[in-house]
Amino acid sequence: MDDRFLRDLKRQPNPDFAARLRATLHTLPANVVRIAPVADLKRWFAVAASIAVVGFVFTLPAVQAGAQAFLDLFRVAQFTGVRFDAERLRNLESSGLNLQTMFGDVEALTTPQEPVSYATAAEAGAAAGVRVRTPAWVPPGYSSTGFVVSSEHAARITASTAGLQALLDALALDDVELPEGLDGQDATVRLPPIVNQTYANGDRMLHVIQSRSPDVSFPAGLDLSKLAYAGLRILGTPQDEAYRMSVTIDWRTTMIVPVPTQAAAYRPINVAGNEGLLIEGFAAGEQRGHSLLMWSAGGQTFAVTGPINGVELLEVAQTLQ
Amino acid sequence: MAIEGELSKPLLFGLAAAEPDWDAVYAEQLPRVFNFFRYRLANDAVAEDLTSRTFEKAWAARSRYRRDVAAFSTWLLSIARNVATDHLRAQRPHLPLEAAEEVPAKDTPHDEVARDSDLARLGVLLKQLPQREQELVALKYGAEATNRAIAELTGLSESNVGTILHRVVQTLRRDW
Repeated sequence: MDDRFLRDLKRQPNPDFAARLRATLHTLPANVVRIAPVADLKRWFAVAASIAVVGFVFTLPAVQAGAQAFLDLFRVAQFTGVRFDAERLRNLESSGLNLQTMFGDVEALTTPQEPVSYATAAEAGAAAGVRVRTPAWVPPGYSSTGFVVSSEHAARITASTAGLQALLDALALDDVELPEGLDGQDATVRLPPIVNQTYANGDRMLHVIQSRSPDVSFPAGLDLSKLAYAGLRILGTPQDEAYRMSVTIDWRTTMIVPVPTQAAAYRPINVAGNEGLLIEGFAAGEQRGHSLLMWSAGGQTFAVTGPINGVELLEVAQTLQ
Repeated sequence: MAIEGELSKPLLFGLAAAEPDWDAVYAEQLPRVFNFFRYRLANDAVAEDLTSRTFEKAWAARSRYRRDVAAFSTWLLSIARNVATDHLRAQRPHLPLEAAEEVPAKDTPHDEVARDSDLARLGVLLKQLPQREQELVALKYGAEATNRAIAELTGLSESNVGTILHRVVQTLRRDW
């Protein structure tokens, strides 16, 4: 194919422009990405929020990492991965600390109900209040086994500075300063119903998960950057990186996804125009090569996970209709 | 159930410790991003502006990618694509991009003046193609992305990328 006429049109950037831009980048503070004011946090629409979805996928055996306690505080809109050593926290628990109660009191506002199975997407969608999107393509050998809808959940979390400080002390994190006025503050989390459609290929299961965006209410004025820094340090993020992330990320719309240290790779990826997060290369039990892709779009959060590679996951995600 | 990793911890730690040479990355990636925008929009001044925006966004978030430098160029191009989409959307405030794909482009006076340059001539030809094809050309010939990388960015299969590009190049050659 003679495409020289196309290749010949390239040119190097103007050296003055290149030098100017390079100089500009070096002078930019780390927080060039503006952090939205924290005054209006009455409704923290974790847009993509994935509270529900991420909370759910991390309960799947494939991705279970013992991070459940932290997901309640670090939930999203967009996704950013950070390395997370679950073993480190498990060691803390084995030493007698109860991580589930160290963040504060959790009061359930709804009565948990058993998930309900449905045969069709329409039935599952009616139960969940969404139009369930099904993939037009799944890897060869996989076939649908149905839909499971979990009920809506809501909980009120009352923060405990003493519990958090005890955790920080146990981890020897003396660089962390908790936000002023945090103690006793309430956060209310509402998780809409989650639809989990499964596709089986023998004992290999592919999950396509969908939920309306959760709604998290926070007190106005809460310093989310400080809270995020504390969370990142608890997860094991190095001090300098935790600081950069805490001041550059919009914490009203971005969720930190703890990526198990054993996962081979994670990276942002474009899913039909929406930035998602792809985690590849982890194993669950006897099965290797598991991947997880999360993204949000149109006020809903989606995740696809299974023992297939990232390219195939993306293919599944791109064909949702 | 515990997760069993396929990579040893020492290797992961090694990856984590690898800090890229950002100046070298900048020098390598700048022409690719700049030419992506030139091929996408056929306008050097706009290309410089959007290149700046792309690098500023990437620079601000660079700490997130220190462990995954291999994917840096793909990540950068994904930012560039979004910047281009935002720019194009702003140019067509009353028409969604999806709809714009179906609308044949019409030459403007600016187009006629700009025909003098080959790049502008290409821009006029590209405007007659759907947005997706325009973007594939910019990724392939402007950003020098491989078909595999383009597939990853766009969600198309690698073979589909090759097929579409072959057809587009034939069309462009015919009208060149």
